[in-house]
Amino acid sequence: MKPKILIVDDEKPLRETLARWFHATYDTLTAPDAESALKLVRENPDLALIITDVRMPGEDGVSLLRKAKEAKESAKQN
Amino acid sequence: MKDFFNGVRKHIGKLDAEHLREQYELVADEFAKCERLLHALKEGIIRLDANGEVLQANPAAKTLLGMNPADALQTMDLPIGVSSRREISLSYPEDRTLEIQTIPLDEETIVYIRDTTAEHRRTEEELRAGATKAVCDLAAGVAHEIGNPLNAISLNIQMLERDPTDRESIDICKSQIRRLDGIIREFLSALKPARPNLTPGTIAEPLKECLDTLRNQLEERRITVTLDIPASLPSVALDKNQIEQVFFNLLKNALEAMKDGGRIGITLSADDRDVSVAIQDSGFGMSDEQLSHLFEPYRTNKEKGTGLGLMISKRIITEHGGSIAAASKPGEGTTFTIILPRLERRIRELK
Repeated sequence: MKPKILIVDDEKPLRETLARWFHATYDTLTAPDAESALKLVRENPDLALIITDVRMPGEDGVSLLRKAKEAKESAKQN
Repeated sequence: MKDFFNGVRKHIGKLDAEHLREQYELVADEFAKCERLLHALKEGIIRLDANGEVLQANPAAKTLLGMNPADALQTMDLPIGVSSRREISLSYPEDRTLEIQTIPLDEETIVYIRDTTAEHRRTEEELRAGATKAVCDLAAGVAHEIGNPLNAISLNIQMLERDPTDRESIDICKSQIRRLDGIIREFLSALKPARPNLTPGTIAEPLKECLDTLRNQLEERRITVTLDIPASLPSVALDKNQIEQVFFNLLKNALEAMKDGGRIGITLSADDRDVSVAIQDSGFGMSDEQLSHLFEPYRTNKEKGTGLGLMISKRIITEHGGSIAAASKPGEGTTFTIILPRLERRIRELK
């Protein structure tokens, strides 16, 4: 099975190009903002990697990564 | 003055001819002082009766208006008996801007006229000085703004190296090149504003054109646009391309300030003086601090903006004789309001 990665960028052309770029080797998910990205993180505990834009409207990429890490750790505990 | 008159009123029955004469002289003297004061004022003062007929006008009113105040007011269509404030531009005998206020006073209406040309010139000079500084910031702005499209093109060219028949990569390259072109064009128009080429029309036309241009983007982000356009909309004098650019800037801002699935409400309306457009978004909103710098160049609140869109928009609307304003609260979205003078009024004022 291909490893699963998540690409987050509010710029659609970049997001989709990156998705196509990694498509052959990875199972790619995409999200246009931090909020929908976090939803995908929670739904996909097997996520191997997140590639995110830092500057996005709403929550930024750094905060997304922090929350994603928290989500993953609390999922491990349960 | 009030005490003096009250005193006279109280004792007038008891006064003999000599005292009456004395009091009369005092009143006449006070009256002459008021007249002199009115004459000396740099501001124009006109008293209108309840029908809007001129009762009295000081010399400054005539000088400022450049003609007989009664004739001038006739072309202005001032509201009688209510408070109002407006600015008009006159070109005869020289270019100038006047602020005209009406102030109701009992049955009468006072018209107060002030020359604001110097203030306007100062604002323009400040803008120009700001623009010079802006040119220095320009390189930074351009570099920042073109980063994303260049990135996308670069990635897609690498994809094309893998597979030269990749149609999607070609399309993305093309659209990103168009975007770069748009960015350059925006910077150029910020540096060298074009005078509007005004023709009669309604603001609904450029608005609809703009929504057409943005349709794909709106659909893709599942953004609902509600349009409220009255059945008959009065004409304004407008440069359709420039006004479309203003709508584009405002709608782009709205889009960038909200998450997918947001709402934009656009309401067009008119009264007997103006046509207005209100664009309300369900975005992140702005603080008072952000609002206060909103129309200044390079004051972007967005991570990916040029900080020029609203400055350009404001300049375009001002050159159309209109005004643009924004109201916002953090977390509650933003409303932009554009007001343009109705065609008939603009023709009158330009006369």
